[in-house]
Amino acid sequence: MERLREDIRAAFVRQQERLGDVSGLSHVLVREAMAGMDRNRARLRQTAAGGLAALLTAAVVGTLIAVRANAHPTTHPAARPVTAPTAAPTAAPTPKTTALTQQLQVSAGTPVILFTDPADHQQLDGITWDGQTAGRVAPKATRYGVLPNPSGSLYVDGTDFKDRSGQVVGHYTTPTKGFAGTWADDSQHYCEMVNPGGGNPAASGEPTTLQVAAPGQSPRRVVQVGTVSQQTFVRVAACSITGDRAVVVQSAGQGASTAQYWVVQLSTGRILWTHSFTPGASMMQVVAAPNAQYIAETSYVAGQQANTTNTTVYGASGLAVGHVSLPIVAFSWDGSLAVSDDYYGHVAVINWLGWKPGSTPVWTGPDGLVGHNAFPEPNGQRMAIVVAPKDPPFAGGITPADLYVIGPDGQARKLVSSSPSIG
Amino acid sequence: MGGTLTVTPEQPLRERALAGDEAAFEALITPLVEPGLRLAFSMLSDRSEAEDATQEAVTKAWRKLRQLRPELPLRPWFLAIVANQCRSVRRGRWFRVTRVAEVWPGGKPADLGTERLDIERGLARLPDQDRQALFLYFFLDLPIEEVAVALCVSPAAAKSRVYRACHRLRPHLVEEGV
Repeated sequence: MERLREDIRAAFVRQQERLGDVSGLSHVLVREAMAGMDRNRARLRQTAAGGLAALLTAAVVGTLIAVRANAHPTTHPAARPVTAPTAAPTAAPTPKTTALTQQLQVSAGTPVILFTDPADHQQLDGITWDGQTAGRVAPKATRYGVLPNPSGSLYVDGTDFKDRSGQVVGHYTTPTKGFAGTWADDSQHYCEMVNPGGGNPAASGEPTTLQVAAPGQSPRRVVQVGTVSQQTFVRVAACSITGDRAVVVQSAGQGASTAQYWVVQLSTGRILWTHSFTPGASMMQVVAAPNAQYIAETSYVAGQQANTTNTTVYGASGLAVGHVSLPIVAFSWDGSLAVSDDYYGHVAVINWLGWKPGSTPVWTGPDGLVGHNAFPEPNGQRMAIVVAPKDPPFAGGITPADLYVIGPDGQARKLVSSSPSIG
Repeated sequence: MGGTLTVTPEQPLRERALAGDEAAFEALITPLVEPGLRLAFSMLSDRSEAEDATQEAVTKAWRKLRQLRPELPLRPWFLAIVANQCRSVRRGRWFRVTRVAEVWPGGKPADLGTERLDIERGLARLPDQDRQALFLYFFLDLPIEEVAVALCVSPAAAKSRVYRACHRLRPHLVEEGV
């Protein structure tokens, strides 16, 4: 019977291989589904608004008649200008209808942001953080995004590691559902969690092991930590070779929320400290700075709206060093700035260390756009934030997004428009 | 394998989703989308149609969330919606019945043992419901109770369906039962 079970599973695995790479697709499908419902709601609102407009028109006409009858002039207070602490984008590139043709020409040590060409979804492009140099990098294996390291010098395309010229420099062979690694802050290594069953762990769960690897090299086992099952997973939130530590996060049931996380010393495998959470108490989201020195725990208290959140930031020794009443989704390279996104269209860059109730964000995202991705400039102070319309046009499962780069002074530049995948 | 249906750990998220919190619903449903997509692909054999069916299932899950009994887990319920959506697509006039053959192309015969090739041919010949039962049980590793919810049958019927399908594939290997 066991043999038959394995044969049937193998047959299904072979069949599913034809489906291809689906990494990242879950979020796209859910976002598209929810956006579609938003569109329907918008139509209903328009219909309702149409009726309301007719009523208002009738009311205004009635009021005018009444005012004329009374002949009393009325005064209205001047509309107060709306002040926003937003540093508006200072530059917007001209919309592009053709793909970049010139090869990206920058020195090997210059960090770049990789993105899918808005006009050719099979082409990967790159742009420097100052937006001064952009160009074509290489064709992609799929229409989906790639997974670049922080400096954009290497990236994962399907099961291949490629360099900035598009040359294959290694293959990803760990038996998981796809590349499940987290690039390290040295842009050469990556941390990953592995388990005996790979992408199909036993239903009862399997122990996972943290290991450090580099393209084309054998991985080094660090420590066994966490478990994976059909309904839970373990991920690496930060992998810092320079800081000699990683943050391993264990999801709660159904993959939602967080059960526990560990701060691990990479050279020894020692658990430096850990936090665990009571199941079901609240939804907990854990985000770590690239240097693994700061960790944000954002709790969404059950029964309240998602935008009523509390975040506590913990420092290198595990002591609380800051509190913010906003959800944190990313840190800058040194952890001094953070990106906040409540998933309702309020994206901001904040200085979390000095944050107090009523504090002004360093930068606030444009209205009507929701955050898709945020990542820091390696060894720099800038943050890249990818935003897209809350109600995007349907484009075959692809949501075109814009890339803003925000400086520590709040100055923002829009470097890329309408790309289906950035960073 | 095995397991029982219990009150699920994602209950607080469910409560928030029921209260209209889209972020909570997204957190609940996103981990289930890939299994749903794979189930849809196993039934439709076309990636874009599988994506459409799964996306539609997400929409329906959001709308029907109040119909989900609190004691039932979300996963098999969502997979049942996916399966129903796929059946609707297959009933549509645009669906090409020949696609079932495309799902099981036979691959490179030289790379496969005769028995494995027989398994693939056998799976292709199974009734849809039996093949879905095997997919849920053996590929997605759902406990038989969740297979039952996903197929909208009793646990006994789900077990019987898996057993029957296995027997059809390898009559001499199913003596131990499921």
